[in-house]
Amino acid sequence: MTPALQTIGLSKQFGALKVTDQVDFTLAPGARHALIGPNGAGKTTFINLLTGRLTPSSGQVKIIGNEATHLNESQRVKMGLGRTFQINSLFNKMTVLDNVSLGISERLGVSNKLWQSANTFTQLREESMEILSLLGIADIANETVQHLPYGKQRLVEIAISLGLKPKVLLLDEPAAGVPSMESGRILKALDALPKDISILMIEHDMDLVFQFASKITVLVQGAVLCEGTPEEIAKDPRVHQVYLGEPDE
Amino acid sequence: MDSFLSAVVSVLFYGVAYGMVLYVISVGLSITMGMMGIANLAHGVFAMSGGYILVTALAKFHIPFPLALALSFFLVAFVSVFLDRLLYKHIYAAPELEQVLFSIALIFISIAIARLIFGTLQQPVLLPEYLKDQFVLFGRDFPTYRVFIIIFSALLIAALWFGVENTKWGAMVRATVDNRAMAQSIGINTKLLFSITFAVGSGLAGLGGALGAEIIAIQPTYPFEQLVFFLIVVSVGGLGSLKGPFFAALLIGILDTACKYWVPEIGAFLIYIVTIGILLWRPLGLMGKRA
Amino acid sequence: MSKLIGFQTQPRIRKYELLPWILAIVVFFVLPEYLSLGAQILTYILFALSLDLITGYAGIVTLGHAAFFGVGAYTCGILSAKFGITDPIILLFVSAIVCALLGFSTGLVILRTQKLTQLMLTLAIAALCFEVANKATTITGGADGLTGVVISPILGMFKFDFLNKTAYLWCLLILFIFWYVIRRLIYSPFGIALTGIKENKQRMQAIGVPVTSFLLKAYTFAAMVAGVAGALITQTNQFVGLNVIGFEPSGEILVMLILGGVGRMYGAFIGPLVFLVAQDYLAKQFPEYWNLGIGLMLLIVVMFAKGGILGVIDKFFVKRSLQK
Repeated sequence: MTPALQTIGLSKQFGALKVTDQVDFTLAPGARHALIGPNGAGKTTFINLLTGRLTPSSGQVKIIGNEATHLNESQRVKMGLGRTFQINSLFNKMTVLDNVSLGISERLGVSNKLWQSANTFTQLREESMEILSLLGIADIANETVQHLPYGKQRLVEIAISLGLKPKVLLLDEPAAGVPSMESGRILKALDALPKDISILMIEHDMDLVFQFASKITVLVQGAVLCEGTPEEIAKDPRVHQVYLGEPDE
Repeated sequence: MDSFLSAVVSVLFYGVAYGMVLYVISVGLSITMGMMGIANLAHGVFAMSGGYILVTALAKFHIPFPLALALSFFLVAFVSVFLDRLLYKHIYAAPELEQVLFSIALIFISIAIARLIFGTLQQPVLLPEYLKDQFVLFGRDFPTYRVFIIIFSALLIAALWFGVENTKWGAMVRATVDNRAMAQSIGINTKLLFSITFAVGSGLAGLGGALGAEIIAIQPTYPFEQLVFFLIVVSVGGLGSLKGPFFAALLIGILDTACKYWVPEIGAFLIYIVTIGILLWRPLGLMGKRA
Repeated sequence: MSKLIGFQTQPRIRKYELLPWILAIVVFFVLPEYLSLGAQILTYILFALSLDLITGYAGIVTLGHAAFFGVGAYTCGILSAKFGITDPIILLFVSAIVCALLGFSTGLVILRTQKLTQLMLTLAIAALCFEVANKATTITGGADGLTGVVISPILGMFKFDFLNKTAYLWCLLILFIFWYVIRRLIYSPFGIALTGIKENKQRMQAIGVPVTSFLLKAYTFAAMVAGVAGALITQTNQFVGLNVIGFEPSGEILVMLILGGVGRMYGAFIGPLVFLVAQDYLAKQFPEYWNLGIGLMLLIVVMFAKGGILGVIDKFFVKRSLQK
């Protein structure tokens, strides 16, 4: 089966500094895959290479089997790739509904309409409401984003990327900055995501990772250390060493 | 052939003098824009003020020339500290549009004040006797004051570069320009550093304005008219760069002088084209740093 | 009134939006001695609207918008004075096309650069246009300005009279047409996308919007409208001076827009009105104090009243309705 996402020998260098080191990575269709690793391992850089925000020094990126290495961000979105940001990147002065509608509008080719008034495109509102209901935040549809608590904003972050109807979704630390009491809400939202979307998640919150992922890749200093199921990774002594120092701590 | 060569030497000479002045004025702008990311378009106001201080010190108070130059540096630096504390701090974190408007406001206000105090005419510079006329070198006449500008600026620039490379202040400036957040997290007091650097940069602008008063006329419309050139020097040289604007300033100085001498009908047209061309090729300037 | 326009906003024209047009028509009948100033104000409103589109809605800060205003003005003037093309409608068309082309080509250049470089480039382009107008004296008249501009009657019927009655109504008509077009644009999905780009460019890219292409469209259109405004000024004054091109008028129109309120469409109406009326009264009597006043006013707006006059009006109405 064609992998949802694949990198072959992907590398990125800044001068002498190798931030991404010959990474061969495969995201299976419908995957619930997590990428973990200590700080500075290059996880966000990897995401930026996948989305096209950064160009690699060498190697390839393939999205659903199609060559994407030299495509820019918008082009990759059109291929079905969506992402969320580690720090909320929202349209703060607009309503939650509008935040989500922007992505839908672009996807449907509505956003380059110059003459008709935006409110005549009722399908935007309908779809947005569906996504918000899915994530359990339909009640805040008309709130302005900047007035929302951080945890709810984080859900809006996910909602925006869902508006793209992505086939592959990259979540950059979805629980980051969310108080631990509210991270249950994030997990609930992630569970509600359609099963046919292939998801790669970067996370530090190990509870979330172990509840969410069926496969984990460990990245250390830009290179893949090991890969496996949560149970395998939890037992792997190399992972223990990387995270906790010596095993007999 | 000989007269062409002679013309080239002249153009180079006058161009370098002009370029040096441009650099002394603009270097402060490059550092502060690179350091805090503030669009300070009012920088020309400092240069103009330095010019007015010099001119008034010489004509009205008969202060000796070296002292008048020193005054133009220190007074402007001093006042800029107040401006920073009172006004600029409001716009450190403001969006670009507000910074632009803020600096335009300062330009309007200072133009008005200059006009009220000094009138609209260009100010005459009463140079001391020993800097007037020419002296002869290799059988050619060189205006003494231009020679003075070149030598003095060269010394000033050397001192500045030495200071930035070798002092603690310089190291902190370089670190903050490179990565402000990182600099703050290793304990550098960026606000204080900025105030000091702002004062030095503004003082230098004042000194440059004073030094160049013969070349760039001191009149109330100065900040509006010269703004383009200071910004060109900074953006072509590279925002935040110390040395980049030096080469940009020399390039502009020589190019402008050459145009004025050989093709005066096109004015500054060529400079703008060259600027646009360079910025297309190198959007961050000749020696600009990656954001 | 002050919320951003979104996908749910009703586009129907509200009652207060009729005010400017009623006012304009009243002025025509009640203040016939001021029609020259009136025509100038209408033209600058159009100019300010074009600037608001790119700065207020799309978020592009430019110090060189008067490049288009000036090129439009000079195109109209040169075609009339040097080439004998005097039909006002044709002149508007040609100026519009020339400025659209200029906007497109300069937009290609500047929209790929970052903030401060972008700002610098807008300034350089305006300065370049000024230099051309200043030095190419045989076609532009240089510092003396371009005289000999003749405008024939509109549609062969409405002559440009000395009392500026025709000019006033002509400017009003053109302003009305473009106001309507720009208003539709702002309420369209494209307009909202522009707002999104201004709010968070990075996110717009991440949702697949070809940001540079959108900005280029907006920039080209705004350049065209500014060019039309410039041509109108030439048609009204039958003269073109250096004061319509370069950095200074670019700064001035930005000030007018900020004064009125940026990103709110009607700020572009209020700003030039207040500014030009005040200038007409005060600048001639006390020129130094005029500059001082503008500077202080700008400072106050930036520090305390970011929404300009419109923002102040808003707060006043919000207070009133909260008290009810």
